[in-house]
Amino acid sequence: MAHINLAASEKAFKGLFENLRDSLAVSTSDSGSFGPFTASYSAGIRLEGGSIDLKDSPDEVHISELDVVIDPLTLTLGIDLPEICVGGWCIIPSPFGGCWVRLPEICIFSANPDITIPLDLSGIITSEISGAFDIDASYFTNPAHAGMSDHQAFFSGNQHEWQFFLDPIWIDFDLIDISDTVGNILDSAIEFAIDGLLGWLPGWVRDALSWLLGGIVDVVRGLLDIVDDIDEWLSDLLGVSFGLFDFILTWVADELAKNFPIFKFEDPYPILAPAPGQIPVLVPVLNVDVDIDETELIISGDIG
Amino acid sequence: MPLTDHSDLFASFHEDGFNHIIRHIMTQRPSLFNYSTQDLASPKYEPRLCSKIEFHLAVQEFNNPLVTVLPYMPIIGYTGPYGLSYTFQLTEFLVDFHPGNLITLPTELNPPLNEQRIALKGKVCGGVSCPEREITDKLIDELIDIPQDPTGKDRPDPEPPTKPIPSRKVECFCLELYATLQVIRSNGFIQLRLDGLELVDILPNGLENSLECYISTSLRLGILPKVRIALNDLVFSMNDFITIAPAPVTGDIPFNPSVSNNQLNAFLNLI
Repeated sequence: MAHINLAASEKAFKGLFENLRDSLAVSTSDSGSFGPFTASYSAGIRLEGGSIDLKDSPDEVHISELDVVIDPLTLTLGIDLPEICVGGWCIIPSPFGGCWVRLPEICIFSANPDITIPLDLSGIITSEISGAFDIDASYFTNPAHAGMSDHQAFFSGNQHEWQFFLDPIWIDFDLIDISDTVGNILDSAIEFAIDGLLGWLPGWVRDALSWLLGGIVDVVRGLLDIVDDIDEWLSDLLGVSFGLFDFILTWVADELAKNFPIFKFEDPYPILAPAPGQIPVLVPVLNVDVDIDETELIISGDIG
Repeated sequence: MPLTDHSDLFASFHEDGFNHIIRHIMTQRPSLFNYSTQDLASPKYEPRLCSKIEFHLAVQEFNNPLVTVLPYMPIIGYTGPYGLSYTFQLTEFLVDFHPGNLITLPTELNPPLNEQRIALKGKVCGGVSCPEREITDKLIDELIDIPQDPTGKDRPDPEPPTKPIPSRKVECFCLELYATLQVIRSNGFIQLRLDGLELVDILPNGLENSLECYISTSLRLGILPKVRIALNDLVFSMNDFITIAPAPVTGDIPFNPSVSNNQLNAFLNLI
């Protein structure tokens, strides 16, 4: 029989998980060139919600509806529009050939990119992670402990540890929804950018351009390869082109499996704290094991 | 039945594990179990007591004491600076959680072990360093007789002794002691409280009772309160991750902590 049993109900386990979940956050960014446009993004990612279900035979922790909050999320598009020149037409042709008087020629969209469109997409993506996890009891041999006695390591905060990780058996990322407002955000941003770019032009030039292009917003959408479904376009850009959703999935799996234990304690464990002139009483904990059943998690071990 | 049927967290320590913990406490806090006068406590890590002290290397590494130093024992009627050296040690400590299976209690402690109780078997060693005759004869010559106050007042009380009477050896004895204890929770700590204590085979009864009284009082006031374990440490610092508090005593949890099935059990809830 094990010397120690420590049992956490599903409710207590949920408390442990929420503590872990709330400590996870990451920022990421990337950029790339996609033909006629470039894009870069910067995202902050954290987790909220989620429900826990403990399973027996096999021992598993099921986590579902773990909300992935991508906030802030800024996407910056750089678009290289085809150069358009307006004017330059001959008003008074020369009878000897050539032209005596021409309208001035105005060329626009000569730069690359011509317009930069910053989009604040914070909080518009609703996504979830679900998965099944084993609980892995692993022994962390603290490298900073090397050359120290256990008591020296205690006083310098370099003790070895028993750590308990959620080791993924399977894990999924579900993109639930991209808010419909993304279309309006994009169109408004394009119009704002175009206004900023063309605002200095004479009215007749802007009218001519609009006539020529049949709506600049549509041109920009076309260049971005947005056909109908802007949600799908954004999902492809972030998820496929940038691999943001895979990044999130890998990040969550790695943090849970390797970096953030759901629970840990020092080994040897200070069963009596230090007192004036007295070292702490450290007891080694051996043979640590984890068992999960339908209602609780049980950690067992022996005192060495 | 799930361990957490009536609380959010449950921790249990089997008596075998608890006895391991006691062994670690005895080797890492030896001064809690070993007492003597200064002369017998020297050299610091090779004291001249009745029973050899096993201690953890870290005790010496961190310059912790092996022995709690006590004042010299006054000699009745003697008013000089010398006192007797002595030692007192608890050398063995074994606990047995209800139901009793490791320790056979003496009849004086009304076996079998009651529910929610812990049996303890220990060994107490002690001794007085008794001076040889020639030493005491020599000291007689040095005695300072304080004259009677001519006004008829009482003599002043003698000063406590400051020096040990030289002697070659400690007259040692060891006694087996048995006790029953209960576990109580106090201010976030779990500690043992002494119910009854019995020293085996000492006569006359008055001497036995006096020794039992002294050892009981030492355990109650001196030793057991210092071996209290923080409730949070019983659940391996779970409180660093979630906020917990002891579960209230209810019909489902009539004792918290409880001692049953050879285990010490603690029930805690999230708050």
